[in-house]
Amino acid sequence: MAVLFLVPLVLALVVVMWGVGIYNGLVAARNRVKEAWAQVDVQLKRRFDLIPNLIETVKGYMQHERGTLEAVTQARAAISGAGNMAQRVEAEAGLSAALGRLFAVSEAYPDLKASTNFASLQEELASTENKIGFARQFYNETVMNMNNRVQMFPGNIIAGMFHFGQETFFKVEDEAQREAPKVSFN
Amino acid sequence: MKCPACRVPMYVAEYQQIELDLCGRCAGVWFDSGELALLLGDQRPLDAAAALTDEATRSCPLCDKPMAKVNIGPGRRVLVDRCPRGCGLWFDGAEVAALAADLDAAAWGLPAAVHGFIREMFPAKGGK
Amino acid sequence: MWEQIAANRRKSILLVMSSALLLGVLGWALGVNFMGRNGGVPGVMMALVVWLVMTLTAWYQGDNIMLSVAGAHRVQKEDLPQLFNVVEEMTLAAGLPKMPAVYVIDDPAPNAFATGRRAENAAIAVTSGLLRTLDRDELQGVVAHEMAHIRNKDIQLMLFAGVLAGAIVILAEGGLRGMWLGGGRSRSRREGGSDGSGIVAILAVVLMILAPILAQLIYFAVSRKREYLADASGASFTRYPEGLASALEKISRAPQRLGGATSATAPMYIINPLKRTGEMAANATSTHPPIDERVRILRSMAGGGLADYERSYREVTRGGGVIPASELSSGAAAAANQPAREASAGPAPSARENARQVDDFFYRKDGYRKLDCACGTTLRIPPDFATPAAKCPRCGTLHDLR
Repeated sequence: MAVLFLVPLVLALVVVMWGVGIYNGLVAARNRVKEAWAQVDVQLKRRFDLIPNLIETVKGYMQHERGTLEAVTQARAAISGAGNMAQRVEAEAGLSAALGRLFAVSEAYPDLKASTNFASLQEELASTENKIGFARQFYNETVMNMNNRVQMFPGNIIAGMFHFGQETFFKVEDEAQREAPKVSFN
Repeated sequence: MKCPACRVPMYVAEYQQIELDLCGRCAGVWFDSGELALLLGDQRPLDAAAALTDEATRSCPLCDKPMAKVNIGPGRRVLVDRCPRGCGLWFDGAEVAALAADLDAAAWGLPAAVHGFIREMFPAKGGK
Repeated sequence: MWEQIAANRRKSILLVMSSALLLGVLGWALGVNFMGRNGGVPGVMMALVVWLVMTLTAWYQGDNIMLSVAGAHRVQKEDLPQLFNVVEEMTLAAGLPKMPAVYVIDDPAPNAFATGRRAENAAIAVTSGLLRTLDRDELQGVVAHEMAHIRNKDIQLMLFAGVLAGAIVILAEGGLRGMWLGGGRSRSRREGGSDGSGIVAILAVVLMILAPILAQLIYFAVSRKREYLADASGASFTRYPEGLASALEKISRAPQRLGGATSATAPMYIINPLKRTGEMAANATSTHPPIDERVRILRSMAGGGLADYERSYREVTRGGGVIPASELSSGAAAAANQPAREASAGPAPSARENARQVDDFFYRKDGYRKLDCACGTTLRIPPDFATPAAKCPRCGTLHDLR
């Protein structure tokens, strides 16, 4: 008789354990997304902080490029003004493009290029730009992983029960990316 | 790095971002293959004819392998030592002077850039 | 990626256990051989003590041993900003929690390796020759490959494999040498030849000969496929397979040979440092897959994702796949639709500037004195320079060193 009670009990236990496993997987995936975003944010802030320094260094050499410099300053200001995620992403892309133009223009100033201060700033900013790109790439991978879990069976059942939503990708508009001129090596 | 001839520590001279190792005692010069590559812009090894000579064999200051004597220069009279593993070239003091004193780069079995750099680094000095 | 990591953890445990078994048998054979029939148990005990010490050493000091055997020096961001930045970039691309420590080895032969117990305290070491030979994209490719070893927990496995294989080889060689010197007791009067100790002796010899081969085989089994996988993940980090492909080509063509590599540490490196240029083709016992095959797979990738590598691998090798199925459905593989990125943008120091930056680090470390001559030449004087003055070759100025 006891066996008859035990079978559904064990079955229920297995189902619960299984559900807990999926739930924990979802939580872990969501935490990975958060951590990955934190990394993107760190790099975006780093770029934000480097810009006044860059403008200060460049100003003296590039008197005829007021417009280019102002575009960078304005693009930076637009980031502080961005309200939601979509606006932020757009503003960051705008800054990438403005910086790209600045570095393209700087090619015409040999004195500036010869300054060691500028050279190290340029390496810093270019690398920060790369870091933003790579952090974003990893962030999008974690988002993809999370969204797969949320959408696919059996994760979708648990996700629905505990209100796990889909995460948003950090996509850069193709337009903005194309605008950013490539500064080639050598 | 120690001078392959005198075995004393050598010092380094850098000009136009290319380095040479120099011996303070015998004025010999080590031209590292990494620096040669920087100067020439690629990694091609120098080709020169091996020579039969009774000049003392020297060991490569980097890998310690005995270096081969190779003939360069007009009339094939100047011998330089070349590491068999491709670590670099060794010029005795007198060889560098002879090389630097000669204006005609084409007569030497060296790429013009190498000859030019040596002439730049060791301007001909009277009496040397 | 998670499946790959789990598989590596299983293999690490398997490796440690099987090496215990191998050492135990070896210990038994050595014990019986040198101490007679009752020597088996003490032999096994001794071997197990050796095994315990080795495993603990590998776990707690393995990375430091590997780094010091290779002659690696820790660098900070001020020393080599570009290298440091590239490592940081790849840390982000791999999603590692902490940036590995960066080391440089003063050796003209271009090569690199990663080591460490886990991702949190890993290290990446590159030679000065690598920094001088490669441009930024190629360096990024190499660092991405090493970062993949770190993330896949290959480094932990290689650490155990390296230390254990090294110890087994030393033990077996020691045993064989002991026998040649006549230390074996099998011919002793007291033991006699009738109780089968002759067979034991033969078994011991066979074991001692087989052990190093076995150790090498363990090593081989763990390291070869790993290189393909690290190439695949590395390419997916940079989204630029050409960088790694061209780096591999340059490294394998470089004429110099690495000084600080031994047969126990060789499999760690991105390209086997013990092979000469002419011998690059892999044979059955090679720990590294053939370079041109690795290059060809990378070059025929249609995009920068894992799935692209898998397709390309199948095409080039005409064999089964190399990337686990679960991995192919993960985020990194989904990036297959994205095109590979173009060569990276940004300022590049010229090859000469790069070389000077690398050399400067070692000059500073070794205590060289820097003298700027008025004629534009820079002199660097070693701390043990014998002469009291150094002459500038260009202008003939004598610089007083006292």
